[in-house]
Amino acid sequence: MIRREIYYHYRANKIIMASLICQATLFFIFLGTFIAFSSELNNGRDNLEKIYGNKAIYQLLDGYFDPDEFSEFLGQENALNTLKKFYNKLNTAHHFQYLSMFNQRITVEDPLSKFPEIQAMDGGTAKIINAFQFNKQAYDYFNLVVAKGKPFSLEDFEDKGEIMPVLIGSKYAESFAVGDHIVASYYQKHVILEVIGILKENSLIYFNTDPEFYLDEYIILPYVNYVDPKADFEEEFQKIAYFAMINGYISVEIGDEFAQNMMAEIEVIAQQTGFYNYQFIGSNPNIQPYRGLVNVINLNYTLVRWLFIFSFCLNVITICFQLYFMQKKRLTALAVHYLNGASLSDLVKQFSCEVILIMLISFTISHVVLMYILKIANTQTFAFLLIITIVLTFSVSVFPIYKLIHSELMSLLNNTEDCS
Amino acid sequence: MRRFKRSILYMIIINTIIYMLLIAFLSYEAKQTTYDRLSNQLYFDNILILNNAQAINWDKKSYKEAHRVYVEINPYCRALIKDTSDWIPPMRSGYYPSANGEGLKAIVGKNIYNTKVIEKNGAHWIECLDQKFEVTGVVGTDYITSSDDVVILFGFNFDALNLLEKTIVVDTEDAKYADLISKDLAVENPEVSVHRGTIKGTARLTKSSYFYKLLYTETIFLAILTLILFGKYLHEQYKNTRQVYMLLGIPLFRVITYEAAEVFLANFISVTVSVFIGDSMRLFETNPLGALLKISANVTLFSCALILIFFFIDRIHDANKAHKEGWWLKNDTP
Repeated sequence: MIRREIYYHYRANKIIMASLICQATLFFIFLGTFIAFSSELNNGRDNLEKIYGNKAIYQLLDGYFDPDEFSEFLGQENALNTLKKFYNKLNTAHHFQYLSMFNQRITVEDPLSKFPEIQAMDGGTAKIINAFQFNKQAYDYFNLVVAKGKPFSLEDFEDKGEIMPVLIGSKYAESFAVGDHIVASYYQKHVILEVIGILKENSLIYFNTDPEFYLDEYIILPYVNYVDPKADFEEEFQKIAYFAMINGYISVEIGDEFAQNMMAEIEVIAQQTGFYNYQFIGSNPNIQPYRGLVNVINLNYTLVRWLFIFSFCLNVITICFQLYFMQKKRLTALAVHYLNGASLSDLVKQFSCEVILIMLISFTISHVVLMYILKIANTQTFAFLLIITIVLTFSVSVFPIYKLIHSELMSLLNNTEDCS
Repeated sequence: MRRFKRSILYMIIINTIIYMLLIAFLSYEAKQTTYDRLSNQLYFDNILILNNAQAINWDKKSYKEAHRVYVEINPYCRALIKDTSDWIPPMRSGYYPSANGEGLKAIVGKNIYNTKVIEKNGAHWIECLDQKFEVTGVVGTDYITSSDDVVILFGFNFDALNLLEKTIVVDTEDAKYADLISKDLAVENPEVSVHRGTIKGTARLTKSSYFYKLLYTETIFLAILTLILFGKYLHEQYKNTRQVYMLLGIPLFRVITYEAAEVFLANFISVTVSVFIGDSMRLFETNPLGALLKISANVTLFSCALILIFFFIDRIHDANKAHKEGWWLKNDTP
């Protein structure tokens, strides 16, 4: 009976029903997008807080600015060994985290033009592309997340000969698949880069005083711990590579005690390894630009949240108004049902079913749009959206149901029944 | 009379809610723009990087949409060539100079002001490539943004600069327009290499332009829907009164004009109340008068149009009903 009534009611009010469904669907899509972005923003903000909160960053450099001194050091018999020891000790230090990273560009062969915006050299297929290198600690420090494939693991930082696992920035997500190989030249050494993952869009790190250094257009290479070289060329390559690796950043907790412990430990490492020619480029408590960014993100979030709350209220009011208006229009029809034996709870049930059906249709459409077209929905979005749907259904039903129960016509009919 | 007053009161309440929603949206738009630009070193969201562009005469390029052209002296300092936009960044102190030449002027971020600006003869100066610029204002807000390290130079003498080595930056508010400029340069100046610049800050991290479009659609849809619904409600309320007026011989035009006057009055009161509430909630970033007048005119016109639309729909409906019942046949029957 109720089913048939709902069907007739929907058929008689096609336009109003369609507009109600449209309105609720649009609101749910807006809400779903808001939830997805808020959760992404919160994660990003928390990650940034975790990374930079109460941290001071120092830049560590080798002191070989004079080319002659540099050549002299490289000419020493145990130079590579010294560099390796120094780098490994920095990585295993107790009082600080050593973040080795650098944006050294590399040359790649691109016969299929997968980097279309970069011009090839001398009419050939070789191109110079942006690449960024990390040691394991730096990679873990920035909590980089992959959208496809797998992130770097400890074994990816081990020497695998010619093959080097890499991550690709999101800009090249369409051009490359996990498992693809790229022939490249890294510090003049021939390597084959194997794509193991694709970074999430807008992956960013703090680099060169820039709190927003985006990796979307970069290929990410690991700083590999090389085994002992077997040829002279290999040895020269490793010396250059390790020189790059010992130029990095040091992260410690903010405070004089932490800074002194860090410096003392580096001094000990220098003595143990014999690499004395290093220097700091000051501390960088100037992570303020990052704090500013987080602050602006927070302000932005608050702004959108207020607009969302305002929009939610107006949606509730307008939907309520429409439902009430429709109900008022067919009050006589409802009265006929009542006189024909339907109880007041039957009428309320019928009305509730109508509202629930509208909300369910809107919820389903919006979920399909969020899931398959916008591709931003996840379980959290689904759960939150469901809760809001229930709240909205309840909010928009209360007023019309109250008005139905307390309508003059119903009171009159009740009185008539009592008299009879 | 009681009904008449109540319906006007309802109209004022509903219109005030709609105006508040639209004011909140305008406030959101203004604040979002400020956040996006301050966190993107005062650039708009669509940046074109031009190399080998020293031969372009920007005075002869007459693009219609708002755009700005700079020479990038270094990542933090840029010299303005042309500015056809009317956007002025929030200033902590001083003023933003006109692009049309007032001598050598500059605006700086607060970090630059604290470290690189020197005071001489009661004025503040910054030096760049052997040219001295008078600092007219400090750009930015209380919170820290990337704009705190920015310098914009006005009236720079480009004769002393080798533009071949410098990058020229063109930025526009609209992505389509950036594409248009890019295509035009490819045809008119093929020697110029053009590529898209990287944007930073909230525009990128929070995908604000996407959110803006979604909010815009939602707000406009909600406002129009509310107006239609309330228009329908008013129509139902006025229907009987209108018929009585017509039976009394009052011309239809006068009845409709009377209803339109009520709409106008209700809108006027609603706008006044909304401006008062908006101002007390500090929702206005800039002078809202122009935007509010436009919105108010549109809402009033739309509400008046709704009166006519519902009236004619009713007429058509009545005519159809009469046609189905065949009343003229009954009347003709002797």
